[in-house]
Amino acid sequence: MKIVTPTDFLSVLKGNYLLLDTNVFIDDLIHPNEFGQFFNNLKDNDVTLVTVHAVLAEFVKGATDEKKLAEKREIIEKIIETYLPFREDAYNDLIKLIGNMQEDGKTASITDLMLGTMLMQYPRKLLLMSKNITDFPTNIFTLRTFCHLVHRKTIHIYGI
Amino acid sequence: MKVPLECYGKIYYMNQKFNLPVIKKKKKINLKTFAKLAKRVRAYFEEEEEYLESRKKKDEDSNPNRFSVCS
Repeated sequence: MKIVTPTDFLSVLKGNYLLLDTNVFIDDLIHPNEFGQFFNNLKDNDVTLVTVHAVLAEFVKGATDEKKLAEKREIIEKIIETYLPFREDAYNDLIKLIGNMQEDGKTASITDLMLGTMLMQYPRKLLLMSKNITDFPTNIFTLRTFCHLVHRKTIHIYGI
Repeated sequence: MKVPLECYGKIYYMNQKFNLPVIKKKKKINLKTFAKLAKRVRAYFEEEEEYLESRKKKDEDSNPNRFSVCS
């Protein structure tokens, strides 16, 4: 598997904060070497990797004991620098987002709604990396760039 | 200028201009230990998937009318 990025990828991300969705952490379990190098390259280019506690909860839920829960958590915390906190007005922004999404909001997961709210909370310098583009419609969120995961017989795309 | 923000009992020092936490030095990922941990965690997900499949089958078998069980 190769992670292929457009030529302006690093210039779009440099100096910014990249919010990682749950599917990024799931994919890195399958391709840890490729993703590890990818993340380190971003860090070398002054990109701050972050996520939110809702993503942590989605990732760790279902763990059958404390040790497994701790190791699932550790995967995330080896990658990110910090969890982004929600500001006091977060739930007002969440309701505003749901209003803007209209019927698209019906199928959006709570985690994705929280991620969308986070983008509204920090409108400057925060970008989201997600494979789940359907929950982030481009009439509300701006697609700045993307990257491809090129497998032997298929290609997956991450929007940013 | 950095301003403190308290969230989940932790203090974040936010850059006042962008309102994002200030991270001075980014920690690099040790690829070897990361790959070993990822392999273990992937196995946990596979176990959880098997549990879900067996639970789904059990629900189907115990429901004589074959209506789907909503959770």
